[in-house]
Amino acid sequence: MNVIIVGAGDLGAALARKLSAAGHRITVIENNPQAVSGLPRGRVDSGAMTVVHRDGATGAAMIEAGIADADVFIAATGKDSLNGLAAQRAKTVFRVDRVMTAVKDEAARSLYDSLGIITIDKTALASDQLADLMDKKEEQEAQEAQREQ
Amino acid sequence: MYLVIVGGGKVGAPLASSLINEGHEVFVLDHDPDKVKELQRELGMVATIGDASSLRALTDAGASRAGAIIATTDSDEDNLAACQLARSNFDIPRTIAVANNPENAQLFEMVGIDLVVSATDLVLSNLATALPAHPLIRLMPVADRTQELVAIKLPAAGTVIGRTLAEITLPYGTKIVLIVTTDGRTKSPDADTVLEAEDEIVALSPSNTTAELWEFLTELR
Repeated sequence: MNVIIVGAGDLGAALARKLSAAGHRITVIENNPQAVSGLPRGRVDSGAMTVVHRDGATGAAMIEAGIADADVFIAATGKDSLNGLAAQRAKTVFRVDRVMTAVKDEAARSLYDSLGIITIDKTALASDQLADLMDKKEEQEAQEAQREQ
Repeated sequence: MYLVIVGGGKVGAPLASSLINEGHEVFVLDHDPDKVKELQRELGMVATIGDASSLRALTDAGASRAGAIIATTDSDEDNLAACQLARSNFDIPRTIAVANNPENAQLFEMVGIDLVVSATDLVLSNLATALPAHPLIRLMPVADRTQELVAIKLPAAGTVIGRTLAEITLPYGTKIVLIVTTDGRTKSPDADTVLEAEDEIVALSPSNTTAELWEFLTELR
């Protein structure tokens, strides 16, 4: 699939690496030349991953990133409102099929959810995963206790 | 009316002051403590420190009882988020946002902001009016910005001077609404109307062909 990611910070770079390794065609939009150092150098140099050096919330950047052929658009900068603006442009103006945005704030999450944008909350994901692990550990301990009886 | 203004900068501060003078109750939100202090000194306790796009700050500013929110920061994304958060959480009746980047003006309208003020458009149209050499004035966007009302001044040495409307071909969809002559007379355009030097043409033009219309009407012999 053709995936556009706005922002090459922690989340954007990790997503780019993972999705690229899974065989997807990745274009990253990142204005800050220093921030792109988190991207896999080899893939960028070989052209397997494209980097567009522009302000990711603008239509010009999205067009240069090939948004006409994008299947997935992910806004992954560190700023909720900027992600929201970029995601709404991708969805409303360019009519991308699947639009996702990273959010930090709970209010932003329900807002973008209500607009039909898929939200990714790093903190919620991490704490959910942690809670799952705790549950599993408790289950395991309970099973072990049963076996011992 | 109770109004929440987001951003107490070069747009928000004078706006707050003039709305207060008109008898409105206003509250200004700004993330910069210095600006808030300045506003409090000039206007009283009508400003607080807060992030434009934070629900908490909007709640503190009394967005739940406001008749409108006016987002005036120099960050378009924050203006949009503030309006949308106020709408979705407090069902605020009217959302007004400044779009600093003209391409965002259209997006803001598409996603339901009630009134969008495009800073660049305002400056451009004022400049055009102030500079007589610049003969295109965008008067008003029409029909979701797909069309616009424009005024174009015909140069004295233009190729269209002396021709009738029947003799010229305008871009598809363009409609000349009114012609104003240099001495201030108005002419209702019909097929036999002759275009004269320095006439001011008021036309309804599809936005994507306005440049073409301007080039055609101002082409020099």
